Amino acid sequence: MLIRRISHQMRNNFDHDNELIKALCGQREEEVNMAIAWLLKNEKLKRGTQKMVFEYGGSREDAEDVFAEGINSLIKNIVLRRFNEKSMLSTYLYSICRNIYLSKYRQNPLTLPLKEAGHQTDSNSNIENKIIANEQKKIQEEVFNQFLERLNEKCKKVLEMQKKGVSMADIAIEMDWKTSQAAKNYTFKCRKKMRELFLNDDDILKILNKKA
Amino acid sequence: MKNFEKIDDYLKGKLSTEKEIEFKNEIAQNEDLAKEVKVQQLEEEAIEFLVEQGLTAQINRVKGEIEEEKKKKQTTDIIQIGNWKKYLLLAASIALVIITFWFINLPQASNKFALLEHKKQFLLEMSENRAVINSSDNFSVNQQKMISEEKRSIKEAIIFFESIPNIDSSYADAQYNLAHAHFLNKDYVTATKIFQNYFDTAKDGNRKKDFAQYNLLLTYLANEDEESAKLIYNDILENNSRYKNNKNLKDFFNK
Repeated sequence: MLIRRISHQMRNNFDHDNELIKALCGQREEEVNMAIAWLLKNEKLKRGTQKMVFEYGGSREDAEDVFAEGINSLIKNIVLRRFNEKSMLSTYLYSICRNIYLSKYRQNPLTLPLKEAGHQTDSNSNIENKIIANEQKKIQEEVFNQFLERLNEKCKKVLEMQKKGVSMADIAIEMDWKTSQAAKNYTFKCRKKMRELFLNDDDILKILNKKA
Repeated sequence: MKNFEKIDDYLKGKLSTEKEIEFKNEIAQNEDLAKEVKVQQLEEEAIEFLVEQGLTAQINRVKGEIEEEKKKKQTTDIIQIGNWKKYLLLAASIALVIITFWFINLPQASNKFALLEHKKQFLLEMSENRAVINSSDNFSVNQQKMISEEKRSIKEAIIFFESIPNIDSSYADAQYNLAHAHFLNKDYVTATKIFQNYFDTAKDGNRKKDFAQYNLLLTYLANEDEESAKLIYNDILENNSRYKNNKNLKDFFNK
């Protein structure tokens, strides 16, 4: 069981942000799982989120939800190289959680957080735009879901690794190819296949037409 | 896909500022290029979505493992707490039994006094019969058994003294010793009856009558019947010259 192997190692791991980032961006599933578990179980980070939510008048349940969502976003941002490492991870997580909490409550003026009382709220049009944007994002994700099922598993794996910043040499090792060029060639082949399918997918074309 | 690499560099911010401006101008002037950039950008978003999906699944798997671990721990804790409670209950029950038994057997003040006084009285009476005690006849042997204070020996003595028929000349003495034996065997009720009977049947002036009354008082006290013992004491004060000035009795009843 992966957690059993994780738990006895957890005590002294990830003292520094770069260790955690390295583990999350690594190729070993075990190491990634360890880093994820460390974040989910981190009481110090949780308390920081709780404090923020309570200051805004939120409940314990809100804090739990916000923390879980925040951790998800944090992990994804780190893996997809969106985190620029200029601030501490805890600070970054805090701002993610804060944005999640405020955006949740700002959509509904009736449930304004206490801390924001007296401040001018978003205009109705801004709220409407955000709702529309969220809806469009959901539609896009559904389209992507269906589209990606048409790609084979090998392609998906290679594209995922490339997106995560894995080198061609490491992709070759992972896929059991002889050279990094073989990895590069296959990756390009996948992209080409993807492009073909994209341009023949009506739903994808609709999205493309809507984009500016 | 002839512009794939360049578009890829542009979308990933790998171009220098100069080249980026140049490329942006190119996009603005070339509709096909602009379309290609849009398509490639959406492809990148789709691949990002793929990665995010994979991560979500992985995070949920880890969450599930953590929850499972928590549940197992809770179950183990509950079982351990349950066992701990069971053991505590058992220990408490045993302790209660022991304490109750101890409490029941704890000599109360009157009982403690009676046991002490009886021992002194009994040994005093036996010492006065030293010649008999040193004998090897059955009567003496059984008296010696009572002095030993061994439970088995006392029971043997009881059996012996009970066996002496009332037609025997030593029947009265046997009964007297039997009373002592029952006292030593903690059968205060029987001891009371026999001492009372001896007292009732013995002649006045007989020292053993005095002894019997005193022993009767002690037997009532041993049985924690202070009321009856007090009645005996009052009679002793009036009629029992041997014990009316007994300091220990005075101290006990005048406390």
